[in-house]
Amino acid sequence: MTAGGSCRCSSPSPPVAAGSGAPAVDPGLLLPNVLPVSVNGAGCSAGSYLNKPCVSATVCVPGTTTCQVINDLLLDTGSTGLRVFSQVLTLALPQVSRGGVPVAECVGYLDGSSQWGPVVQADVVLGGEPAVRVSMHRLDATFGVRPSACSAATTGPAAAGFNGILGLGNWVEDCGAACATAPNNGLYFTCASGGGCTPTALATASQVQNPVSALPADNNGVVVRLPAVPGSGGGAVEGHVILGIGTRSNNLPPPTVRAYPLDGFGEFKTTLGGVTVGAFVDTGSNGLFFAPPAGAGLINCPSPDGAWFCPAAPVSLTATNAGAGGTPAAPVSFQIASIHSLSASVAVSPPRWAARSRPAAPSTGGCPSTSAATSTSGWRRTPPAWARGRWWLTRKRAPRWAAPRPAGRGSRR
Amino acid sequence: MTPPSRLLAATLTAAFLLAGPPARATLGEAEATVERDRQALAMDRRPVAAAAAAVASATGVTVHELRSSTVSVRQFVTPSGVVFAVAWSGLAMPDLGTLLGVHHADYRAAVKRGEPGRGPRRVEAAQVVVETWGHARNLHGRAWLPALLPAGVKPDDLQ
Repeated sequence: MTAGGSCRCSSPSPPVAAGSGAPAVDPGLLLPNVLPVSVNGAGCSAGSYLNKPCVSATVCVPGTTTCQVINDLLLDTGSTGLRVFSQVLTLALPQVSRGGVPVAECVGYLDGSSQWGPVVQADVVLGGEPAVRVSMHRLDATFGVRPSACSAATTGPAAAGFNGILGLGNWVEDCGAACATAPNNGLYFTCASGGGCTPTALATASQVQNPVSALPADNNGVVVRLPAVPGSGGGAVEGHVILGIGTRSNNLPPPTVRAYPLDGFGEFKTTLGGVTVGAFVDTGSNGLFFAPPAGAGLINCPSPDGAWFCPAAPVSLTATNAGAGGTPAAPVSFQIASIHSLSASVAVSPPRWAARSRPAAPSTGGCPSTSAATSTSGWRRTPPAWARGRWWLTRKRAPRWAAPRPAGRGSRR
Repeated sequence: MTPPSRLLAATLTAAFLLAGPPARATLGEAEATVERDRQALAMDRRPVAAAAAAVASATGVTVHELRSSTVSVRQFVTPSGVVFAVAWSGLAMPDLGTLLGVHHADYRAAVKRGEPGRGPRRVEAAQVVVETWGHARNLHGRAWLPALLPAGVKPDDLQ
């Protein structure tokens, strides 16, 4: 059984500028490598789903000052590249092409959704950093003739719950070498005008790229820093994404931080209840997903909240995180409370599901998005590099789902 | 006068047009559709990995493995020759329309009924269960027909 947990990590609060008297502004937050991140707060659109971290980025026509600020981008350390719906991104951006034919991409997600549209070039500005020229994905379900795998491509921000995705994962490109030579990679297509779309290989230099990796400095990873949230949950939190690791005064890893080497899938190891699984840090998932140890009392909520845990009382657990090769290793403690027991004040407003005649707006769970956490991760081309984090998500290679399961289980993606 | 066979053909054509194109394959269909899928997905056949082969030999299940540069697909066939499950992993999602065949529409409808949010999912449609997990560049999933699950085969074996 795997379910989203509403939880509170016991990690200590991240460092905050100490001052006597009035709260001081952390001077590190005034540096150019800082982006505000808002979890279900002012930086997110109304009606955001639970635990959604939102950031902004500026997209410009290459080599010009013709730009657009794009708000309500999902901050996603689990994917790579900037993707924005065409309803929002209205700039005329140069098309990436292969052999003179426009290139488009079909990206499928775990939740059954997919995104489709042309690959374009843009100058992207993050925080106060210099603009970087990258390939990005303009999401447009009406572009060309969609391949079968994208037949249900998400049509726009209203359906997606965000204006786009800023993927700052462990890789430089969203596919890499596997798409550079083989046409049938499932991601990239060429779409001739008035014709269908055909699978294509695409050189890594043209693939959708992680904009942080393209920065002249601060390009070796990111830190996601969020304030503490009480065990009863919180309505919204505001934090920061700090670009680069060990590149400036504001992103020097403290001595207590451990670096967990990743494997070729970008994963480290987490052991819970004697079971070791591949684990990853993913701000784009809106829960802490893991298989609960037997006897922990972590029962799933009744429908329609069956994707969340509903323990009778908060459950304290300790897992062990370790590098992909087994070292280093360190324990991490966390608590899981019932999604139904969290304060009603943490309702996301307005609830998207009000139209589904829910009795009450559900509460925002704690981890990962609203927990006290500092997460850092870095990347290389191949193999991916290493990550540091107290902020973690786990998944089993083959999840063991509860059986029997009540019929009609609801699910929060 | 129209020969009966042509009348029948005309009727079938009409039915085809009304019903839309037939499912291209596979879940719930005969073992031969694995090859049809392979061609539709432009994948290569590969030897089945040891773990899957062990499950197969213990239960009489046949496993077919297909691979592209980015995705691996396994198809599980009952001793009586029906595809009862598919599993996939890779950098990209395979075309589930091809793999789920007639069950794809039910899956899509069940997905739409889910709550907003992102992460691993388990979707139960009328006849098919679909589980997906992992993350970008390491996506996993499986779909099976519980009604056809052979004795001795557990969903966790389907990977």
